Amino acid sequence: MSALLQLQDIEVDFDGFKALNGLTFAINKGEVRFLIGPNGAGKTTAVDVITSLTKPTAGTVSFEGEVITGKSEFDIVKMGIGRTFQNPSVFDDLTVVENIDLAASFRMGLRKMMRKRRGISPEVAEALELISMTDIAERPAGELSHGQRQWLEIGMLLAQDPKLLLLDEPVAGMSKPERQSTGELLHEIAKTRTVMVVEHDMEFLRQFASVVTVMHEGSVLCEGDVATVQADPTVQEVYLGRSRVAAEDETTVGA
Amino acid sequence: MSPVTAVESKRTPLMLGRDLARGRVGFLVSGLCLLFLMPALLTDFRLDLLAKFVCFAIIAIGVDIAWGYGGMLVLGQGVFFGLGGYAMAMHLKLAEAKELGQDVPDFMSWSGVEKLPAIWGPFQYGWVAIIATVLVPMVVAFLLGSLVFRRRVRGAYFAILTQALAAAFVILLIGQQGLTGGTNGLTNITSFFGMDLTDPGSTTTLYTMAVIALGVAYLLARQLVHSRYGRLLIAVRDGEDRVRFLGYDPATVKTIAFTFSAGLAGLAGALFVPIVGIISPAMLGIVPSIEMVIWVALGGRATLVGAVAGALVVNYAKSGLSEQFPGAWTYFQGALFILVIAFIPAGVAGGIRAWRKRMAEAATERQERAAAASGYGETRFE
Ligand SMILES: Nc1ncnc2c1ncn2[C@@H]1O[C@H](COP(=O)(O)OP(=O)(O)OP(=O)(O)O)[C@@H](O)[C@H]1O
Ligand SMILES: [Mg+2]
Repeated sequence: MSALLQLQDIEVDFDGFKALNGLTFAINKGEVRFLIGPNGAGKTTAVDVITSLTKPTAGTVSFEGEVITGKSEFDIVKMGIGRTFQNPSVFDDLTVVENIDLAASFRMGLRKMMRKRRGISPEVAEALELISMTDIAERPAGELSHGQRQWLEIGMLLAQDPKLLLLDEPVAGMSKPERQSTGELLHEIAKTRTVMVVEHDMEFLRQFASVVTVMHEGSVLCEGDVATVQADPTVQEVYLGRSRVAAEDETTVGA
Repeated sequence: MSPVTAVESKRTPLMLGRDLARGRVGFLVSGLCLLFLMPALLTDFRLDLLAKFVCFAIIAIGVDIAWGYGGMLVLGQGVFFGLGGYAMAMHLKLAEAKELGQDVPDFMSWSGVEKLPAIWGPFQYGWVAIIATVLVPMVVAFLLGSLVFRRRVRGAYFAILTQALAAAFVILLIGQQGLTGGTNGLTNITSFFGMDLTDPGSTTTLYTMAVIALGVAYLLARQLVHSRYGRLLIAVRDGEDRVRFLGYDPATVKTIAFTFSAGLAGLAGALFVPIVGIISPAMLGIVPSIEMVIWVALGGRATLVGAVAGALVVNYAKSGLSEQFPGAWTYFQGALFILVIAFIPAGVAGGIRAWRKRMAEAATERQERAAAASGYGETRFE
């Protein structure tokens, strides 16, 4: 079976610094893929390359067998790849329902866009329901809390109805109960969709991942199910190495 | 399961209905007032001035769509106003020449042009001119927009580009004396589709036309703003890069709004010419173009009523002040602009809107606190 998404030898060069260096991995339909790795490993850059926010200096991305490198951001959305951002970016001057409705309407013709929205379409209502925002649908997004904004981003992504969802740190900055409910939401979403989640939270990963890809310094360190990845000595070294550096920092400060 | 606390929506359907009704009633009342009350109250001279300001209000609506809602700081709307104005004036000059049995308009024969230039040809026909007043500005804006928005020219770069366009247009007009009337522009327009413009009765007719055009422009803009596209335009203003990831091309969204604003400026130019009787480069250069943005900045960005009121009030103040203190206006306008930007950056209408919202919030808060306080009192005295 050919993969839904394939990254092949991706290289991203930021003024001489290789943020991605021969990154190759594939995602199959129906997976819940977790992309992990230390800070600066290139996870966000990988998402940016898939969605065409960053153009790779080498390598190709293909989706459903078609090469998509070089396409515009909105054409990639139209092909069925949607994403959220590490820093939630919703439209503060629009209401919750307007934010979601816009996300749901990109396939609409111009004539229909020129008309006023009447009521709430079933897809939008469903997204509102999934993120439990039906009651605050008419509130401006600018009044939402950080956690709510992250949920709204997910709601917008759901309303887009993509074939592949890319979530960049969906629980960053959330409280423990918020993480828990976001996890449940993710579980619900993943039942019928292919999802790739960038995440640091190990607890979260253990609960929901089907396959894990570990990145380090711009390429794949190892890949497999949760148990395999956790048992891998190189992975331990990367993470342990980081904690050793952190410990050294602390002693320096103390001295 | 949700981290979201359910908060009752404060807007009940009843209130929403009332808001809508108030919008419609406001539109009708101000429309009727402008249409019937003003001609009865004002002298012909004042009504003529007001008619000119109504044209400016049409431009302001366009500026508000492009800048207030779309975030494109358009500093060259004078170009589109001028294209509309010149298209109309060309026809009126040709009609006049025909009436007098001449081949070319008066100013051409003065500069020795005896054969009608090709570009003037189509403007012999009134319907061509009328369509051109709106269509030519729209086509120019569409081409320019398609060219620059896709290349992600925006912010100050776009503002400077439009400004440069206004400067270039003025130079072009001045340089082509025989074709455009040069610095003087097209002057002495005395007749408008058979109507004698020196006849005092013509003022009311022209004024009524301008008010109707303003009403239509307002309704069109309102429809645009309240449509899904209008929401998308606001989204592009606030996060152009994010909009791409919603599957839309911001360049298209912006081009549409820019083209619409150019069409309105052209329409205003076409109405302006018979009202004022002249169109010249001085009316559409850099300074007038900046003034068009100032009306909207003062009145209130992203509120259509604010844009219209801004254009009317600022120009009224301008004519009043310049009558009494010639030369002082420029300084006064500059000071006013700085004051508004410093203290109410959203403009007067935007400021009122924010103030009303704050009052409503304070009222709910007071209610909540009162409720909490009484609850506290009860438990204490139990
Ligand atoms: N636009 C840019 N210009 C230069 N360097 C960049 C740019 N964007 C990212 N980088 C660098 O590329 C590396 C990878 O960044 P990236 O954001 O992909 O990491 P990440 O794995 O998502 O990290 P985090 O866990 O902190 O989100 C980092 O060292 C970062 O500093
Ligand atoms: Mg990141």
